Amino acid sequence: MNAVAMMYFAKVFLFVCVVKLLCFVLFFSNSKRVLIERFCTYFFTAKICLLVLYFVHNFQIISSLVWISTTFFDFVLPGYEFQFDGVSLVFVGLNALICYLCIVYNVCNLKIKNFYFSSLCIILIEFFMYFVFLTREIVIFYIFFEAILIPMFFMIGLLGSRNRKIHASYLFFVYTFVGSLLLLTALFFIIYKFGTTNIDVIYVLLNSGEVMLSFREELFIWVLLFVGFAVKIPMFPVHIWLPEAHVEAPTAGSVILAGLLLKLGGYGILRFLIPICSEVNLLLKDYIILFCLLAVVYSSIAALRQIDIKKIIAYSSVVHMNFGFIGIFLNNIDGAVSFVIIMLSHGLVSAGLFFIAGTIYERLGTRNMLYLKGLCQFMPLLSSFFFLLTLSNMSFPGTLSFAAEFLVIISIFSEFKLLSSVIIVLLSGSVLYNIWVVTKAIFGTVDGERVSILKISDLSFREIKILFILTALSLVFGTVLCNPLVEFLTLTPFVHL
Amino acid sequence: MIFLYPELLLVIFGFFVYLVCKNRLIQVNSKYTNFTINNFNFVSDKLKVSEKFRNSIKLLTLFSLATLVMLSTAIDIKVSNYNYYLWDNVFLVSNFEILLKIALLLFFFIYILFFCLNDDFPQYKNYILSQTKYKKSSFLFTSEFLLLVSLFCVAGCFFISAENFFLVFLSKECQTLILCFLIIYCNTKYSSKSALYFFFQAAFYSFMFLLGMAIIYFEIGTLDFNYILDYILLFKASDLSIFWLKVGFIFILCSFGFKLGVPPFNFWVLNVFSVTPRMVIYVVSILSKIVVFTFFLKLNFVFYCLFEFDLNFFALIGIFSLIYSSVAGLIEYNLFRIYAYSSFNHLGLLLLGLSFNNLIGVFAVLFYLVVYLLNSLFFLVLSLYKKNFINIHSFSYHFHVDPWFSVVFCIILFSMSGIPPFLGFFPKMLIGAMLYNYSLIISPNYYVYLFIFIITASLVIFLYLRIVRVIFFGGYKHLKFYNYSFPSSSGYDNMLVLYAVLLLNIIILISVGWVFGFLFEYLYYVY
Repeated sequence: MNAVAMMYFAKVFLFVCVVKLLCFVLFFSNSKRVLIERFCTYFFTAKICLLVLYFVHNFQIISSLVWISTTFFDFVLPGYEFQFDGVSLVFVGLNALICYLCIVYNVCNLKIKNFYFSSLCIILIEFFMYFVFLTREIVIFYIFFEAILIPMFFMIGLLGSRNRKIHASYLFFVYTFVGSLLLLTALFFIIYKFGTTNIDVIYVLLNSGEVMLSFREELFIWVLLFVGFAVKIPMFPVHIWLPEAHVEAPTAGSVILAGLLLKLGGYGILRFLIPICSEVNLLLKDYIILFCLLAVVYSSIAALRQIDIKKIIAYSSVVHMNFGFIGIFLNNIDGAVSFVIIMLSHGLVSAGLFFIAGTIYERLGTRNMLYLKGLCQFMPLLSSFFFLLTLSNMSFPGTLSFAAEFLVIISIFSEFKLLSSVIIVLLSGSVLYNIWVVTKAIFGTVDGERVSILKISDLSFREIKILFILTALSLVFGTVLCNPLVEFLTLTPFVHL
Repeated sequence: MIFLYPELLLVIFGFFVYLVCKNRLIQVNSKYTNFTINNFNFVSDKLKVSEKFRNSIKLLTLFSLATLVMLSTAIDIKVSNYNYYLWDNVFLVSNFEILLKIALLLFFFIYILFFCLNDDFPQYKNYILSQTKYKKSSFLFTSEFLLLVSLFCVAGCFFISAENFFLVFLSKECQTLILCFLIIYCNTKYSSKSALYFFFQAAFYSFMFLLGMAIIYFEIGTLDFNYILDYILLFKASDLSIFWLKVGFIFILCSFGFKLGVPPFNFWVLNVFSVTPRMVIYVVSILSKIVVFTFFLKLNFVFYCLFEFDLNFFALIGIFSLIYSSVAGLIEYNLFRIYAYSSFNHLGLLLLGLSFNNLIGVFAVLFYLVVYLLNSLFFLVLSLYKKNFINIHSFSYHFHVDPWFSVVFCIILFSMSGIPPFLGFFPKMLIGAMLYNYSLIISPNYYVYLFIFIITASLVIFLYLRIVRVIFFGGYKHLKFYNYSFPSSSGYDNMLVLYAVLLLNIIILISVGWVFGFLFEYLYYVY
C-alpha cells in the first residue's frame, strides 16, 4: 500500500471520529443510556470495519482509494500529516475497543448524570488519542498528548470513589505536566535545529547529513525526551502517581489509564526518540535495560505487599511496561515488534482485570485482599474470568503475553546471553503475586456471619460481553492469530530500522 | 479623511451619550421627587427608564461598531503606507496607529455592550443595604461613567498617535486622572483608600517620567521621536550622551511599568483589583494595556538602535514578574487577585518577547497580546454573570449547579494557563521557542531565562488549577468560610459569550496545522 493511500485512510478514520464527537455533543446530551450505547456501538463497528479494511489491504494490494475526493479531507483536517501503519493500527484498534467497552461497562454502573459526563470524557480521550497515534508531527503529538490530561483529570477527580481522589488527580496532573514541559523544551530545540517537526523529514535530514547533531546536543535532546516519556511509562523513580491514580480513579478511568495512557510514553520513544538520538541510544542501551529490570524486580516485590487489588494490578502493569520497554532499546526488529505486542497484550489483560476489580468493588463494597474470600461460591463466572485473565497476566503459555515475553527474551538473547537467563528467573516474581491474589480471592469457603454475601448476583450480560471479548482476544491472538500478527508487524516500516 | 481619525468617532459617540444622559437626568430628577411619596412606584419607574436608556445606548453602540467595521475594511483598501503628521510632527497617523486605535475602540464598544449596561454594583453589600447610596451611584453611573471611559479612550488614541514625549506625557496623565476617578467611583471606604494610594504613586511615577524627559531634553534639545533617532544615527552621539539617554529611558520605562502594573511597580494593582467592580478592572487591565504596548512596540521600532546594545531592562522586569507572580500567587483565594497575578505572568512573558527586539519579537508580542486580551475579556465577561463570584470558596461545587458555565469557565482558565489544545498555548509556545533560539544564537543569558520560563510555567498552573478545583471538586477543608447558598443557575444575558469561547478554542484546534505551518516557515526562513 502506498503512502498516499495510508494518509487517506488516516484522514477518513479521523473524520469518522470528528463526526462521532460532534454528534455526541450536539444530539445526545439528554438521551437515554441505552441510546448512547447503541450510538457508540455503531461508530465502533464503523471504525473496526475501516481497520479490517486496512488490514486486508495491506496483505493483498487491491487498488488505491481513488474514490475519496482529496480536497474534501484536506479541508476538514488542514495541514496535518497523518499516516497509518502497522504500529498505529494496533494502538488505534486497542483504543477503539477499550473506550467502547468502558462506555458499555458504565451503562449499568453509573447514574444518568455521571454517565453522560464520563462518556463525554471517554469520547474526548479517544478522540485525542487517535490524533496522537496517527500523527507524524511531534508538535501535534505533543498537543494532543497533553490534551488528554484534562478529561482524565476530571474523570479521576469527579467520578472517583474515595477521599484521596483530589490528591490523586493533582498528582497525576502535576507529574505529567512537568514531564511534558521537558518535552516542550526538547521540541524547541528540534524546531530550532531542523526547522520542521515531521519525523520522516527529520530522519531523512539526519541520514543524508544535511543536519548534524553533535554528541552533546544529542544527549541534551535524549535526556529531555526520555525523562518526559519516562513519567508516562512509568519508570522506577517517577512511578508514584500511577498506583495512587489507579486506586482513586473510577473503573472506566483506571481501565483507560492502564490500557491506553501508559502506552503513550513507549509509543513516543519508539516513534520519536529512537530515530533522532541513535548514537546516545547505543551508548546508554545497557544501562536502560538494567534500570528497567530493576523496576521489574522492585515492582513485583512491591506488588506482593499490597492489599488493594487495584494497586496490585497497577504494580503489575509497571512490571509489564518496563519489560516491554526493554524491547525498544534492543534496536532490532524483533525488539520493536515484541514491544508492540506486549503493549497490546497488556492493554487487553489489565483492562479486563480492572473491570473485574471494579465489579468486585461495586458488588461487595471492598477491594481489600484481607476481606475477600470464596468468590468462587457465589460468582463462578467472575471467578473463572478472573482466573483466565490472571493466567494471561503472568504470561502463561497460550496467551498473548506469553508470546510477547517470549519474543522479548529471544531478542535479548541475541545480544545478552547471560542476562536473558537471569530475566527468566526474575519473571517468576510475577507468578508469585498473581497466584497469591487469585487463590486468596477465589478459593476458600464463605461461612458464619458472612453467609448473606451468597445472595450477591453474578455478572450481568454486559459484563460477560466485555470480559469475554477481552479474554477471547487475548487467547486467540496468543494461539491462532499469533503468527499473522507478528508477520504483519514485521512487515511495517519502522522509521529507524 | 474621517477614516484616518477613529477618535473622531469616539468624540461623536461621547456627544450622543451626553445627550441621552441629559434627558435621563431630567427624568430621574422628576422621579426623585416622587420617591419620598411612594417607594415601590419609584423602583418600578426607575427600572423602566433605565431599560429605555439601555436600549438607546445599545443601539448607539451597535451603530458605532458597524461604523468601525466599515472603517477597518476601508483602511485596507484605501490607505496603504500612509504617513501623515499633524501639529508640527507631534501627531502621527499611519497604518500601525490606525489599526491599534481600531483595536482599542473595538474593545471599548465590547465593553459598553457587556459591562456598562450590566449593573455590577450589587456585589458590594454596602450598596444593597443602604438604598439611597445605591440609587445615587446607579444614577451617577449612567450619566457620567460612560463619558469618563470614552474620554479615557480618546486620551488613549492620542497616546497611540503621539510622536513626541510631551504628548505622551499629557495623554498619560489624562488617563491616570480618569482612572483615579473611576476607582473612587463606587465610593466605599476601601475604594477611596485605594484610589488615594493609586493617586500618590501615580504622582511619584509621573515625576519620574518628567525627570526622564528632562534628561533627554538636556542631552538632545528636543522631545521629538524622529529627531532623537536622527541624533543617535546621523550625528554619531558620544558614549556619554548615549549613557544619559539610556538613563532617561529607564526612568520613562519605570513610569510605564507602573502604568502597566507589572512587578516591581505592581503595588496598586492588587488593591484596586480586589476593591473595584469589574467595569473598572476591565479598563485597567485591557484598555490601558493596549495603549502601553503600542507605545512599547513603537519604542522597539524607533529606538531599536538604542536598545540593540542592552535590552536587559525589559527582560529583567519580565523575569522578575514571572517569578513574583508564580510564587506569590500561590496563597490567593480572591478571584480578582488571582486574575491580577495571572496578568503579571502574562505581562512578564510579553516583556520578554519585547526584549528580543526584532521583527519576530514584534510579531510574537502582537500575537500574545491579542490572545491575552481575548482571554481576559472572556474571563471578565463570564465572571460578570456570577455577581458574588469574588472569593472562590463561595463557588465550591458550582459544577453541580451550573455545569455549562463551569465547563466554559474552566476552558478559559486552562487557556490562560497555556495548556495545549486551547488558544493560550500557541503564543506561549512561540515566545518559548524564541527564547530558545536567542539562547543559542545571541546571548547565553537566555538559557537562564528559558529555565525560569519552564519553572514558572509549571508553577503558575496551580494558580488556575485552584479555581478549577474549587468549582469542580469543592473547596479546601481547612478553610471554614464556605458559602453554600448558591444563586440559582440563571439564564445568561448572552449565550453568545459562551459560544464564542468554545468556538475560538475549537477553531484554533482544527486550524492548528495552518497556524503552525505558517509559524514554522516564518521562523525557519528568518533564522
